[in-house]
Amino acid sequence: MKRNKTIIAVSALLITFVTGATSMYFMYKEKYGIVRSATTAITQIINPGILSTDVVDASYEPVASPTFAMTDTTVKFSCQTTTGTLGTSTQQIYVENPDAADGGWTLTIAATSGATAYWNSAVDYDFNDPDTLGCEDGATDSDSLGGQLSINPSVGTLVKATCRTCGITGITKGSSSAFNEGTLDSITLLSAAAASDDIGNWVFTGVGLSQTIPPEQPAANDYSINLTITVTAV
Amino acid sequence: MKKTKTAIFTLLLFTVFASSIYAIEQRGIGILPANPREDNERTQSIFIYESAPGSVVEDGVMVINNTKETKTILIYATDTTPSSDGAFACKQLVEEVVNEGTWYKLEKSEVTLEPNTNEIVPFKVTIPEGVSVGEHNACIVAQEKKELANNPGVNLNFRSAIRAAVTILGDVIKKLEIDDFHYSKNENDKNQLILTLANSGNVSLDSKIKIDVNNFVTSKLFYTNSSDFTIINNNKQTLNFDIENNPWGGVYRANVTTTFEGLNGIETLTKDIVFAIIPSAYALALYIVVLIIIITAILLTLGSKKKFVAAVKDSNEYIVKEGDTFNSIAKDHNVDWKFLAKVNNKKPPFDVEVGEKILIPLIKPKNKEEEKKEIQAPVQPVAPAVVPPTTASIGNSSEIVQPNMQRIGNIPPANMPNPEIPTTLGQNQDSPSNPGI
Repeated sequence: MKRNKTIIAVSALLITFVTGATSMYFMYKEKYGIVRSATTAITQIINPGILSTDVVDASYEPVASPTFAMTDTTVKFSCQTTTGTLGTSTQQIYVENPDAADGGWTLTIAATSGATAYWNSAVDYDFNDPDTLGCEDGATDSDSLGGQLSINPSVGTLVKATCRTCGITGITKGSSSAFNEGTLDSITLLSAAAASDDIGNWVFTGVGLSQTIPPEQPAANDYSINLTITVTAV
Repeated sequence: MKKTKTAIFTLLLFTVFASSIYAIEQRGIGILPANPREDNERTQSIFIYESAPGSVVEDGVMVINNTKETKTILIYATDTTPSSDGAFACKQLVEEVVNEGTWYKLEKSEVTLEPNTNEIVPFKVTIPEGVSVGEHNACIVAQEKKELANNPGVNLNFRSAIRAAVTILGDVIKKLEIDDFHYSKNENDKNQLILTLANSGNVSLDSKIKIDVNNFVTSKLFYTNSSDFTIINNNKQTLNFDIENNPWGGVYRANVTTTFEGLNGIETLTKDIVFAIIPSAYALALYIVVLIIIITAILLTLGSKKKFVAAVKDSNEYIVKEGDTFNSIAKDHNVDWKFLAKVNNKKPPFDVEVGEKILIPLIKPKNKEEEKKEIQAPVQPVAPAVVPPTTASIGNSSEIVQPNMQRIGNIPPANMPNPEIPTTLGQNQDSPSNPGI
């Protein structure tokens, strides 16, 4: 019996060293979720887990300034469409929920400058004008620019990231939608149910982008727009 | 020994558990409610207040920096904005706050945090007088303070937000409906079931959704999904459920059941739809081949049946005389014995009795050799045909008598075999084994 106890003790020490989880076995959760070791020899403070989103590379490291290019095009006398993809293998949209949003969450995207934003260059064009499907400037919006950006999350691929046991059950992808000034200023990428994994991280790639460009839009290689992805606990 | 096993098993379990904890690395910047209530677990994730018009609530938000760098984090309250599909979303920092977002006054608008540190920012919620009964939503948001990138293309920025819900007590209305439930195929040819729930009440509702898809013919379960979504008040939310692809296609019945806590207890909504999944191109090609085979088989069967009916209808009667065998009758009349058996409904051992009437079909199926001969035969001038009497008597003892026809003589037709010559059994393997009398 004594021999068995020794074996167990040695095994425990080995496993403890291997996993580096010394304090994990004796943790308890305090107010605000701050976790401390119960042992006096080793102490550790781990910040509470927060619901967050980012863009990460293939190794799940954050990308400093994530940018997604649209397909190149040339000046045309008619309305034209360029396409792009939000989320690639090297720039994956990342969502992390380390037990911070148990009631579910949403992942949405909108123009950082709000409904009055536009594709910025020497001569701008719009991202949220629905008039003639974005080919002309409509009277309903506040600017004098044409153009409309559509985002299609339903064609994207959602997979779990580094979590071992989490899955994508309970997370639904948004429908294809186009920005419409004052009417639809935010597009849903993902909606997570309360029943989705409370502890998990996921990556989302292959979200379709489609931008209509008005006729005779001047040539430039620096058209840019800032969009903000928001993860919200609901 | 049993205790040892249990202990080792527990240790292994611990190892796995510990590893899974390590799988999620804390990162990013974000916020959490600083003072979650013990009576409501949900307040660990979002801000929930039940209050009266004109009241003031004090609370706090914990701003957290889980990155490896010092960050300056903007912290602010905003109004909500309807997102596509009716999902909950928050307005941007630059947008003017005019609705419920104005109720929240934070003591700080930004905090600078060292790596892996946090700070609580207190705030007050001032609920205006005269505000309507029901739920009022706003957002508390955290995002890093930094210059916007200006690279060509779409530049992405990120932020974390928390829903802040104030419920004004009074006559609560809870009304949820299934607005739409249908099947669709998206641009990537993925099968989807699209459910739209409409909350026309004045409070948000946590709805449990269960979707089952069964094969319409076999009732076999094809897909199932259980989830629970919060449907915000005065809002329609659309949820897209990706269902498995079935390359073979098929007809399916989908059932959605939604339950929520109504004013008088749990309420259940349900809806059924039937839809068809179109098979893949390969499966479709295979189906077409199978269909062609089936149609051909049916046509052949029908043709054979038609020929059989015609043969029965257009036939002469032959009265069996002594010494006849079924095989000899077939040979004598130049008819395939199998066809003759079929026309006369004869089964093995193909016995015939003297005096028995046998139908001799005038339409005779051609065998392959005959067809070949016809094709290969040189074209020769057609000689005037000597038409044998079609309704002649055959000798004295064998007779072919058409209905309502009189016997007109004793001259046997040229093509009729001599009935005196018995047929040798066993000459033809296909012949009936014992077709004697």
